[in-house]
Amino acid sequence: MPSDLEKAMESMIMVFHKYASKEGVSNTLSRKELKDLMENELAGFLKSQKDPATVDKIMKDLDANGDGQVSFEEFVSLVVGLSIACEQCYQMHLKKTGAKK
Amino acid sequence: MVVAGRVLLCYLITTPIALLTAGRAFYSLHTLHTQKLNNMALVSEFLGQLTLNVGAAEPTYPTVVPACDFDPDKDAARIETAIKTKGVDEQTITDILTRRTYNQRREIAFAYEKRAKKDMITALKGALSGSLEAVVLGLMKSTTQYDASEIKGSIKGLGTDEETLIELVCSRSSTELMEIKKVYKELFKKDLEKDVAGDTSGEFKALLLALVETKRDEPSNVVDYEKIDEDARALYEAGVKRKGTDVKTWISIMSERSVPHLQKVFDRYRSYSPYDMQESIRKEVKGDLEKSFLTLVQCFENKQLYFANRLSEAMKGKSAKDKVVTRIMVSRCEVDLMKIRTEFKRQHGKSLYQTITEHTKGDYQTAMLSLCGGDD
Repeated sequence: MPSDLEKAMESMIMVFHKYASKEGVSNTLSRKELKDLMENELAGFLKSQKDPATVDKIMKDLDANGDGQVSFEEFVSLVVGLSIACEQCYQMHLKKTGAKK
Repeated sequence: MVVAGRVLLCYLITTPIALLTAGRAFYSLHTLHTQKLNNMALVSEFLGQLTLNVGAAEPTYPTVVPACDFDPDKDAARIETAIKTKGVDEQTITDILTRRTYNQRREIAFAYEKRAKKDMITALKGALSGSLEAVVLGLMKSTTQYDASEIKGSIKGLGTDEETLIELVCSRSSTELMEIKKVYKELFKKDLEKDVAGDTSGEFKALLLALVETKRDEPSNVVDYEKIDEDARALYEAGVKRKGTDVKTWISIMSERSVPHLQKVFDRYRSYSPYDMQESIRKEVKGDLEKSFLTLVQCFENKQLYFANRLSEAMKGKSAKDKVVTRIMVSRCEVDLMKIRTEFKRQHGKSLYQTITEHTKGDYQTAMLSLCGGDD
């Protein structure tokens, strides 16, 4: 029976491959595939960005070796960055709800 | 693991208030077995609150960059010749050393020692003199070593050069100060804190020690609006609002909070105090303490403008304060001198290049202009 953490890791890998295999090289995300992924899997986040060039900026930042493709390793840093920020939100939230009880 | 070291994106949370009400609704209605659902829904909530802030790494604006086609042996040979030349060819020495990065200069020194069987720095000391010597010796030190030795110079012997001490301790970041402490101990076998404490007194000493202790918070992704307001109010109540000043509160807030947080605190401060932070400092404290707080706040708000103003001050009137100009040009040429130039032109109308031309001369001028990089 996979643990919660194992399930989370599996989800990350599955989600990545679902979108990466859509076209071209099947284990990396092209710009279009990355856009697809973000619009479907991170819709809430994208919608709250005022900058329409957000996906491009993220793509540029993730594609560390500049080959126009985002590998799983490069993709995962996006997930990590968002997770860290969310965890800090969560901490603040705990503090506030804890205190207000 | 590669991942941990490469989180390039930085996300800011913008509306914690909305977050609070949504979270409380969940927690008060659901019991433990739906905890997982709460947490997942919370993440969606949180994601909607984030703002993308790409490229959060500190950009640098150096004027001195690695020379292309770098050949340390050729450079070492040319310097050896220049030193041996009758009357010493200062021009060549300056040309080479001001157009190489610190790392490249070290390679040249290494190559020089191999071929001349002598230590290059000692040879340069013997061949040069005056302000130019100070520049070249400064260039041969790493930024941290240079900072450490400048601090040492300001406190050793009888009396203290408070202005220099303030400039260095109040403008360097926590990270830089931590490095400086290490190098200071290696070079001088003493603790920086002890030396600073021995040479200063009162609240001035307390402020410097607080900064040197490097207890400053790391910048966080989270913008804590409540704390910003608390701190702004605390600064106001400790200063302008009351008779006298509670310097301790000022010191602890300004030495412990992260710089981005403090920038927002000073903004918020305007809504409590009729005077902005710098004006308040001028009203509340005097002397070295005033200079230190002002330097701190000016550096939080715009460090390059602070250095630009310092340079301008040092070059006013007939005699340029060489020591100050040398120190800023040498210590910032591989950090942010380009940006300092921009701020200089913007603030003072004239370019830094022009000002240096007007207020310095000879080989020293050549060296400064070379480090400056160009005219604006």
